[in-house]
Amino acid sequence: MRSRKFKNKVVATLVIFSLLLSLFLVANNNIQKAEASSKLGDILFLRPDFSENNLKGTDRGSKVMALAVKEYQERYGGKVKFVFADYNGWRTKLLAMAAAGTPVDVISVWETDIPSFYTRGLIQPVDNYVNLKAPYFDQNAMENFKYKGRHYAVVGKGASVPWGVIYNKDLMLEEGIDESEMPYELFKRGRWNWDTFEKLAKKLTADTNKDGKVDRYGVTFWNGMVLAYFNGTPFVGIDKNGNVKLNFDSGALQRALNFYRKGVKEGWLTTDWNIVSSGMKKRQTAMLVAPYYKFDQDRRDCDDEILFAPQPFGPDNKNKYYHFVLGIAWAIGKGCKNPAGAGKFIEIMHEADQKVPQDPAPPLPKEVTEAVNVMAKKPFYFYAADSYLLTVIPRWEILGAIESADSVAAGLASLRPRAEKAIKETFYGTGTKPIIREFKPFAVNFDDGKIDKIKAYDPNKKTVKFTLVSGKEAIKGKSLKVTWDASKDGNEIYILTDPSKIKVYGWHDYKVSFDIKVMKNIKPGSTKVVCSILSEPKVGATSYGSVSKNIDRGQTVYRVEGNITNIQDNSENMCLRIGVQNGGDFIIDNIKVEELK
Amino acid sequence: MKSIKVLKLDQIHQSIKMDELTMSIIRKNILRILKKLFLYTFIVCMSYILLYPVLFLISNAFRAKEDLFDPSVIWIPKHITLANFEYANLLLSYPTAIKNTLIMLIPSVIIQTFICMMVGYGFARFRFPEREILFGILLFTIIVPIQTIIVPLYVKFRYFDFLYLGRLIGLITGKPLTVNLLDTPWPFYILNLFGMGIRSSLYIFVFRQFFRNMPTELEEAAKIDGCGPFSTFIRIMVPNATGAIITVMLFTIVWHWNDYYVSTMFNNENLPVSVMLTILNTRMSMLQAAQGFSSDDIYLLGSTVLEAGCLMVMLPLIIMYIIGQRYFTESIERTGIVG
Repeated sequence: MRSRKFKNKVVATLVIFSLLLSLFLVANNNIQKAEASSKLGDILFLRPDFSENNLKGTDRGSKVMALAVKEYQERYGGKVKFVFADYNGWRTKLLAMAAAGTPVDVISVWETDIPSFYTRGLIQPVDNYVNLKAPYFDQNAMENFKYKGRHYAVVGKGASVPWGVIYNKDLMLEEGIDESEMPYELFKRGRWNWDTFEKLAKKLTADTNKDGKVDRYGVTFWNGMVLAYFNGTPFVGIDKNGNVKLNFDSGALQRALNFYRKGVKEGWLTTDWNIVSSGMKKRQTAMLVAPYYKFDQDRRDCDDEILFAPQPFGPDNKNKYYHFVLGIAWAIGKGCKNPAGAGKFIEIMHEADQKVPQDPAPPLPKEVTEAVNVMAKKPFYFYAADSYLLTVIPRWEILGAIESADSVAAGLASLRPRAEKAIKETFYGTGTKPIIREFKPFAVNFDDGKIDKIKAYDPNKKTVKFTLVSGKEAIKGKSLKVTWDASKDGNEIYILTDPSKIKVYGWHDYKVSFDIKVMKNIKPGSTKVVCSILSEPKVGATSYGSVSKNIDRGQTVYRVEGNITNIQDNSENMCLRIGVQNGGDFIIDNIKVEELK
Repeated sequence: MKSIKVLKLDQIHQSIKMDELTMSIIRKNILRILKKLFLYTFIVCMSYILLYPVLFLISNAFRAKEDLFDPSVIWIPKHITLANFEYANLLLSYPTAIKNTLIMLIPSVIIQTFICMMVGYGFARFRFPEREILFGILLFTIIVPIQTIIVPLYVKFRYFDFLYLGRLIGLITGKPLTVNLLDTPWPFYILNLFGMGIRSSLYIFVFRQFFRNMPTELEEAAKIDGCGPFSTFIRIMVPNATGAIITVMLFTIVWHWNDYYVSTMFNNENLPVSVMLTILNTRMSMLQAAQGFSSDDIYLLGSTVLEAGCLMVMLPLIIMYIIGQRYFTESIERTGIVG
């Protein structure tokens, strides 16, 4: 009896507690206020380690942001709401917010993120929201982040940094090298290549204290892997559709790594980090291959005259791309509440960047400015895909394998299994790896008198017949007539495009249209024309999308139009399926499939 | 002649015995000294390893700008200053951050300790068919990192619907009533309430082990006196579990205090002190405006201010440990937890 009373008390307490809690929560409710908008509306902004408090900072970056936030509010009436995340967890927070249906509007991105954010559907094209032709955007840089013809990241001018050769002019003069034979002069005369680079490095390598050991290297590399980039090839390639593949079999990559191996073995090239960090100052290296900001630091630290020359191209870099790293770029979250506001804020940030005065810095030598300007015309972000390899296999391990193996090919072979796994997992998770193939829009109107591009869906329905009709019976010119014996094969018949003649691929979004006229057995309300894309031309294949139209009248031409999207399939045998449900013979024409813009 | 010889032999034997005794005493003493020497050397070495970072923090936190590049200053600064603490206080927004931390921490610690104790008692004392399976699942949650479930948790708290009451209301209003609990300490409280807080499963395990070792006679006596299970737990078991409670509470406080991953995920504002510390460096430029420092000054001060900030964040925990040290070590002995 007593225990029953106690139980009742517990249950009652729990119920009261839950009700009170709910009431409290409801009263406290801050339901979706974050999305309240006015004019262009509020936007959510995410940049790792950046919170509203940073706007109080007095460094240039903070001033730019503070001005942009103020101007956005003044011009568009919306607030910029800062989403806080640190560098370790910002990608997870981005995912969590997207999963919660509140994707971030403006996201700071780096070249290492853009391809995977694109393939994972976290960002959307910026073309419709940002005036990409504005003078403060780096058109050349943005070309690198264009997939299927649309831009996915906005890069401001000066937001990316080239790699190049930092060299000690005074030291070279002391070693008897004529100014005309120095890197920048060689570059200007079109003679700056791996041969002249190697020759110079060998000449400057020395044992200055005569103890039998090299104590001054001709060239030091911040990262030896960049030789592959100077030769125009990354370790992992991304094509214009965002497809990723390992380049280990590439001759260009192997030649670049052979050059690196040769330099290390012959002793004129090193990647010793102590020399990278202070070797220019201590004269332990005559040349240093590093990002531009290292030049900016070294020229302030060194007593000698330090200059910067472009990267020497390898023999395979036919496109003459220069290796750049992205300081920061901006993207718009897919499905975000305010893409228009996001676009405007990105523009305002770059405008603010023009308005806030630059920090004082010693003037740059003319040749350095020229070198940087030349490189900025053809930037390429080789780290974009390689960084995913590097998160699993560190660069010293890659270079170590190249140095210690019997050959470059053997070194790469030892890395291959891990590299392939790394790419698969980092780019595509454990799901399907998208194979993106080029799609060509097509139209079938039967005016050429051929019906061989169309076939029957179900081979068991033997009475289905295709005939070409023209004149009044046709929809326009010549059309395809599909007839069958409904008593044997029922009132539902489909036709397919022949995958050997017409190619439809997954990972594209399509706009489909056709004209159709159902001839008989119309049952208003239940007769329907349907269209979808199949993974292969057979009964039971996976179907993607559905475009349909109800048919109420016979002998009447209906125009059917619709979109089929989200086709996550790698099949090469995909086809378009069109059919009639609860109807009879039909005539079809002007089947058109194009990429959805 | 013969007797004299015998006497001599006896003397020799006796003297040998004496020598052996002395030697054994000396040997024992040497061994004892060596043991002590080894022990002290070991303790000193271990203390050095453990204390080195703290000593380094203290040395740097009190160091003035002038001493930063003075090669003669190694451990003890020539110019001792409290300015670094002042700057860290400004950059951490220390009082606000501490307030935010305490708002999250105090209820969380109380809820988590009580809930874990109750669940641990249940596992220790009640026999039910699914007990072993449930306990296995509980142990499994120890090895599941929070990172793997953080996205669903985020979504859950973004559209929180307690006991589906929001959906019930939705049946009337046509739109489910959900509440955004992000940027509030409620996700911590709720997770702790359902045994899903930071390392809750570990504490449940601790309490289970503790209650299993308690004599059943106590509960039997309580039962005879008319106590039900819940009453027995509250009146008999809880007062006897002080040791385990203190241990778990201390761990709970430390882990909640140091947590920054979950706090970063659930908060954009009201950041706790641990998160503020992680972003201290990025806020250094605020000193330019507040103190009129140049960029070079900011660069120079970076490490000393960060170390002062670290000390400030550690300080409450150190004070707490000093006060609670006796209970903590006692309770560790009782509950059998090491480390």
